[in-house]
Amino acid sequence: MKNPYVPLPVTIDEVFIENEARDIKTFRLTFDRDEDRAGFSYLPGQFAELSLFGAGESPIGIASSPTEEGFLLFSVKRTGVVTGELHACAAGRKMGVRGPLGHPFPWERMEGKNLLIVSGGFAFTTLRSSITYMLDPANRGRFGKITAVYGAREPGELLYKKSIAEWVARPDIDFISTIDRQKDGWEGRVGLVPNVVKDLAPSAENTLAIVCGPPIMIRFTIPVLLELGFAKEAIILSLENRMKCGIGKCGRCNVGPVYVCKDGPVFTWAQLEKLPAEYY
Amino acid sequence: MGDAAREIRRIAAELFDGKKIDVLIGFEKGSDGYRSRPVFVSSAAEAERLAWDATCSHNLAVYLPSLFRRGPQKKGAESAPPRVGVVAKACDMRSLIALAKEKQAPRESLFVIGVPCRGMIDARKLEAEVARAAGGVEVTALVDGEEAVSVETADGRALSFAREPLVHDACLECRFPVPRGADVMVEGHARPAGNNGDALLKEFAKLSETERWQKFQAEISRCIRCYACRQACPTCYCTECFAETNSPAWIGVTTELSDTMIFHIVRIFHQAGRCSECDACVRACPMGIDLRPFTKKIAADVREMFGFTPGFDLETPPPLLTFREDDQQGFITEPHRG
Amino acid sequence: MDKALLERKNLDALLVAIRKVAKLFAPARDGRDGETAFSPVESTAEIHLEPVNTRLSAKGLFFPQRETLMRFSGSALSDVTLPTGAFVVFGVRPCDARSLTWLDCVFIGGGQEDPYFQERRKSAVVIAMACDQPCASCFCTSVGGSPYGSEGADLLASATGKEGALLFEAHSDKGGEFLRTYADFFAAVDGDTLKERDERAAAAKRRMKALDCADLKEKLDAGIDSPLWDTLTKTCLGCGVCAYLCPVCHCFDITDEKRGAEGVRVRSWDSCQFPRFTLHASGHNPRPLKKARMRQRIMHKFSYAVETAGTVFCSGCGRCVRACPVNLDIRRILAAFKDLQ
Repeated sequence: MKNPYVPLPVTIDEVFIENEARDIKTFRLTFDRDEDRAGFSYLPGQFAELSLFGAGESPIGIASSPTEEGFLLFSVKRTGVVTGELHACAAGRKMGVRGPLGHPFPWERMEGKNLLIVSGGFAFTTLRSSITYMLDPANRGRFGKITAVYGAREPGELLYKKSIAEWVARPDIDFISTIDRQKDGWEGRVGLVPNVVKDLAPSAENTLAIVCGPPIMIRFTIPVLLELGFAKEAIILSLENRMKCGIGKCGRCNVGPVYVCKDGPVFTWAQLEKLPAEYY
Repeated sequence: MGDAAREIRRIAAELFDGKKIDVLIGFEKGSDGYRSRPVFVSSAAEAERLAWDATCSHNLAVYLPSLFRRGPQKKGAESAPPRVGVVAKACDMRSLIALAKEKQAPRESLFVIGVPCRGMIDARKLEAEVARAAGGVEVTALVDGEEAVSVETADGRALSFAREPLVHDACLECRFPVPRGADVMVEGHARPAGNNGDALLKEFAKLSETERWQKFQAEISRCIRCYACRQACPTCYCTECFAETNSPAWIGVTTELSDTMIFHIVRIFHQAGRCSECDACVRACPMGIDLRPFTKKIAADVREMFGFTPGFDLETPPPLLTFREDDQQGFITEPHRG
Repeated sequence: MDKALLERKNLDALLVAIRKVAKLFAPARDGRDGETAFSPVESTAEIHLEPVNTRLSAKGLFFPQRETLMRFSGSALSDVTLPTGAFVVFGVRPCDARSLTWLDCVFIGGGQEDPYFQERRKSAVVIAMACDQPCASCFCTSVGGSPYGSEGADLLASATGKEGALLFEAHSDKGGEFLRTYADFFAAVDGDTLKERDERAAAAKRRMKALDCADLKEKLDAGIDSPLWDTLTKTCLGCGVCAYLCPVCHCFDITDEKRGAEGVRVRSWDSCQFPRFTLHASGHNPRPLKKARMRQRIMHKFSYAVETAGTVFCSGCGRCVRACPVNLDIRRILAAFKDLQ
């Protein structure tokens, strides 16, 4: 019987500081055992529990795409005990990964659709996974027009700056980054994410919207999307919640009849509306 | 006692009718007739629910800190604190005074209805007696007589039990059964003052250090870390308890014995000079842990070392919350004395 | 269904035989207030079956309060040991036995098996003891159970009128196997004994007042934002007594403990009633208020579990009613919502 509590051994390959505040780092992890690497089959949207023996575990969205073989990427903000310890780790350090956990974005539903990606802050991580996945030549043909709006407080806080620069230059994705308030040296868009989406006024026709961001961004983006004609089932979100087991047993992420870990973390707005307002 | 209950209801209704209070904390009848439970009432009509009898064992002062806890207030535009009525036995009153002194509940915002106490009975003991006599039945009426507690059961039986054997041990020992400093006193007589658990303290004092540690360990090994003791204690009001911080993690969160023992040691020591020996922690414990030898020992030590008994005056600060120039330094210079 | 009669004089010998191959747990006096707890027992003399249920339920035998999941040394896993050892639990009331089937839903169902729980369940024989003296705080019949219920029991034992003889009824393959293994200690059962048993079961059921819980889920769902959640929960202290004593509550925490480089990852009981249960590392708490936490407890048991597991997650054992330090009675909350228009 597989023991779902035991983490798979991995090694930190590389640590990259993502933001100016230096509190978000991306960790590249490689599996110690070949069979674990082969068996870790995931789709964008899923998460894993990062394990540091002695500190504990932390549920983090998978930032790498399955098309990027041989490693996993996780972008982690230093917030508490486990993430604090993780930030003190350097390349070569051994740790554990439990996963993949949760449901991915609804890739079957997304076939043949246009995608509108709306994101803010460091919730963008599983969207890096999604965009990388979709833009891969093997996959691009499966999807229609891809539009992404990604905002941060300031330019220094945007993640994956190198990838963004590449995406902005590509013709097969319309990538718009924005910052909250004008800052010297920034030549791009300025404006809060919900307002930028409103100005853009993307068509809701045959389009699914994926929204990942802090609660306040979500709260103001949903009405904009609804006004643009997006159906509640066409708005897809990924939730965060306090978790422990990640497999729907310990009860910590239970909201209404669902567990954010096991039944989510991806939910449609139609599903979330039915839940008691305790999901964030 | 029927009279006390009626009196409490009358006073409460008057307070609401006169708009003197916003809410009142008292007791109402509890499950299956064996118990009472705390209740919040907000109107003269709701005050009809208030009751008083031998089962009002809880310390209602525990609810006060959270009623008065407010966020930062804008200067000049501070919202008025709620005006709270509270029914208080002597032990509740002493906790209330301790809270007022520590600025957790302003005395001027409280209207205290004091009730002299004949000692409260342990509902669990009563339930066990009734079960032994008549099986596990609901009690439809409970009369708290002078010498006996009489109950009527749902299947029509009338049973009577001697009162004293049912009374909580802490109540048998209580030295101060009449509340002092209430705004109004309900009529009634109190039990005679007890000996403060003199025998218990003497027995504990006879034990060697090793024996005391073993006794403590044996009691605490029953603990399931439900924190009922802490939550029931009026002077345990920290919004973040040391037992639950994880950064740093002072103790583990499981029933590992050393962690559990540290929790209780620290909690009891934190109560030194503040604990009114109200027994709320013992009564709340679902595992029947007897914390009294330890809580009483701390209180006795505070009396001996500082000449202080908490809960009687609003002025004298608790000894462990004060610094005086002439405080003993012996614990620094001679740590192993005694 | 296999049935057999155990005469009083054979009980001790049966227990001795069981102990040769398995650990035996039964309610024994826990030395305080006349209460009992599931403890390892060696003889009949130690077993005390009181009308009032054990302090803690039998869930701790399958889902211990503290359980080591794995050991580590430095950053490497050093040991994962699953529990082993056959055991027999005797004297589990039908409410506690029923709860085990719900714990099965959580720990074994749902696509990921919990090996620690699963191993203990596989290793155990559960012998339930029917209730002839339900207590005032018992309400199993209000939630689909009964004092002679057999859900979750491998065997259901009940007291016959005949000089302390016990009737054993097998309700699972394991139960049938048990009766065959220990056939030497048992005698045949006659029709009269069975008739008396049915009469006793009916009598016990009649002693109980049943709350009508039809439509309860609908009423609770409709009342999710009702001010009742505030008024009914005002006196809650926010401790863990109800969740810890409950035979089906199963929320747990996972923490690492270490000394130097050696350590363990342990799981321990937790409660949704603790304010910090849902606290995020960022400081945000989706359930900051007491009323939201008690609402979660009630909704989980009486609404969400019905949706996800097809059953309420409350066996009516009454422990929370008796042990709650402020006597917050779950039946009052249910009754208040039942009456909500």
